[in-house]
Amino acid sequence: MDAALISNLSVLTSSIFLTLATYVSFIRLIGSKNPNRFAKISYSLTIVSTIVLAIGVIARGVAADRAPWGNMYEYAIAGTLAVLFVYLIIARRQDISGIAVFVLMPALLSLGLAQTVLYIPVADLVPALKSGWLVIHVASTIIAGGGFSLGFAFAVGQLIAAKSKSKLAEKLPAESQLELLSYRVSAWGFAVWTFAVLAGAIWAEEAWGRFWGWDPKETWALITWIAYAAYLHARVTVGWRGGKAAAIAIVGYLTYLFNFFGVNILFDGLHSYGGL
Amino acid sequence: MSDTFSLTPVELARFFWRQLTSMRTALILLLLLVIMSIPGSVLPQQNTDAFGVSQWIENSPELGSILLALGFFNVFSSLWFSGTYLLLLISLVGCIVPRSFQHYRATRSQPPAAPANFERLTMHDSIESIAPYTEIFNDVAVGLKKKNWRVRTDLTNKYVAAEKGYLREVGNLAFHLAVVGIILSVGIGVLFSYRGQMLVREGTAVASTPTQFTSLTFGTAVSVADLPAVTVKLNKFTAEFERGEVQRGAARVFIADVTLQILTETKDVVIEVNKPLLVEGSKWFLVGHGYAPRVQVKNQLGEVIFSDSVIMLPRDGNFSSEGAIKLPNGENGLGFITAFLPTADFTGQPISIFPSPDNPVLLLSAWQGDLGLDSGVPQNVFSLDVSELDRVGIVSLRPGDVWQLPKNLGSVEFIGVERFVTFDVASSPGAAPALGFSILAIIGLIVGLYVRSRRIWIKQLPDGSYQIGALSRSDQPGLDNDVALVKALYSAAKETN
Repeated sequence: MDAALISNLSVLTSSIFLTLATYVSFIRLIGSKNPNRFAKISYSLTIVSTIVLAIGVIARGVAADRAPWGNMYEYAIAGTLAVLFVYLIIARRQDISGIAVFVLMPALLSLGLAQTVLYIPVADLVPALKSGWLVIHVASTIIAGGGFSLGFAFAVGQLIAAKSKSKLAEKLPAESQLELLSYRVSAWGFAVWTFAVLAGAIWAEEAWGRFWGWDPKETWALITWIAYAAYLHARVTVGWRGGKAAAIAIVGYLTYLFNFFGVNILFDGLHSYGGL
Repeated sequence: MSDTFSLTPVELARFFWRQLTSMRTALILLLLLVIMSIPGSVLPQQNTDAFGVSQWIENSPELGSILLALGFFNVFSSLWFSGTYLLLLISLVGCIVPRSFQHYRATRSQPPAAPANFERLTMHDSIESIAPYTEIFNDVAVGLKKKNWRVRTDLTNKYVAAEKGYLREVGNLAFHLAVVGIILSVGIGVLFSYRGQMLVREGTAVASTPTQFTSLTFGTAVSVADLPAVTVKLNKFTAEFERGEVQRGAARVFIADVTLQILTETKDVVIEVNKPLLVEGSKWFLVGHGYAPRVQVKNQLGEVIFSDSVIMLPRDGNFSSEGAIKLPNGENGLGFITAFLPTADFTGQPISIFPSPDNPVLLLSAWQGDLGLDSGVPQNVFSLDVSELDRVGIVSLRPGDVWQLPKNLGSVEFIGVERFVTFDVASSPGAAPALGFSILAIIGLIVGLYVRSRRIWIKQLPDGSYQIGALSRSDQPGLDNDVALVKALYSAAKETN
């Protein structure tokens, strides 16, 4: 069996485990019996899914003989891995099983999209991507994206938890816990994103002869950066704390998603080598 | 409202200044920038896609001209965009500078006194036991100082106050100042930067003089005199493309073998896509390439009137390329519209189906007449205006083929396939300071986000019992460790005294 096949099978296996984990965490959220038990099962299934996905990402790198994030498919599976990994770290430290389905469902969706719409077989890269900066720049956007994704999930949970009258709200972690979690991962994402944009600028200077050129991808990276800067300020501004700040975090995440899907598919720019 | 109207000009100015430098204003300006940036990516922009802009306006002239006038095709230099970020910049400076002084003073003054009510702090804890406070406070203060806390002992009011994490605000301020620094570096750097593009054919040398550039722009503080005095000769250009099934035709290798001449010194170098060449403060980037078929034209007497490689601009990903050859000779001028297909396919419209020269074909359409090159009107060298010319004929040639022109006009030979590359030549001195400020910004950001700033107090209540209160000035966990530390210091002090 070659590495490419191992990778594909691993990603498929990982999504099967993730489907189960999502289902169990959904039961945990809406059911009333044994929430702790379901939480544990979901957590264990997520661990298995994450490990298998890690094998899939690594095998993909071995098959392509380069960092496994050179096109949209690879970015999506590596990004999902980052999300699951950070999720597990947090879930180990505190009980966030009530919000698990908010994290696992989008992760599953991402894996599903990766294997259906975004999938392309292993291939070499265009010369512009053959650089050590590919590892640094893209990896940091993946890590930052992991933070933003979790921040989004927590912010959505926070908004629901804030409506204390709803039945769902009672089963979620406390609004304040979700707010703090959302802030932590988003702020982490913002710091890493700042680095990613800087690394991208250095690379752009090397490859294209200018560190900033308002390429659509660059523009949207800046939009995301400003949106999260606004979020961090909103959190400490009277009248914006809580719900409004969470809404800005959600907008920030949508700009990040648009930069991945929208810019790669709709716009013709220097970054258009998504492989679609 | 009546208050606002009765303000003196100075008070009014102060009122607006306070509004401008408030966090709320900064926040709204940030959100405005987000919204304003969007048209800059959705609509074609003049600096990156001038052709797209003219097409957009052609397709919808009414809306296009309105958007053009409003600066929507040049968003990032438009008045409204620059105005917003300048306001943000002023707001930022107006907020950060006073805060810097304030923080400087705070680091020189004593930690703040213990608040009356510990219940309102982030954490508080009570110790029931009664112990003499002087010794306890001394020991706790010494213990905290050892752990790098700034400590204030107030024996009159019976409390010890301690503070730690001043670096957090330093990082925060450094980040914001660095952002200002980045924007200024970029803005000022533009004045001192230049950028040009030149096409170099294999086997030819090009000097970096203004006439050799197809485009050349200078910042206001630099001029032609700042161009590096070098000559670049392209010895060979190697391009390889994916031949496998997946991403067939995608670029894989681009390497330009170049001989560089500076004054009398020559040097052989290689320029690759991610490896620009640094010469005399300018950077040479390999940004594109194409084909320049070598063509020889003879007149009816058999004399060579043209023999050179001809640059043809690629029109698609498989390098179907177009160009023109112009041989003016009064009324008897010859002109050719040329198309080059590296891997020609004639099943439908002639088109190239692969970027490498696997089946190279040169298509020529010959025209005769006054080419109008002497009229003084500048012409595009890559296209031929045939409106005043007579058609001679059309042909497709493979390397080595010779076409005897009809009407005994002479002959054309397609000698062989050669290539050209496109170099961007740029100097952007703002990059270095911008990089420095960016690194400072990231360090400041991490320090500002992750250093914990916190205060802790231990006080003796009138009934003789003790109370510990702690205040976190960040959203980082770990305050419980600080409370535990003070408790441990208290216990140790109680044991020894």
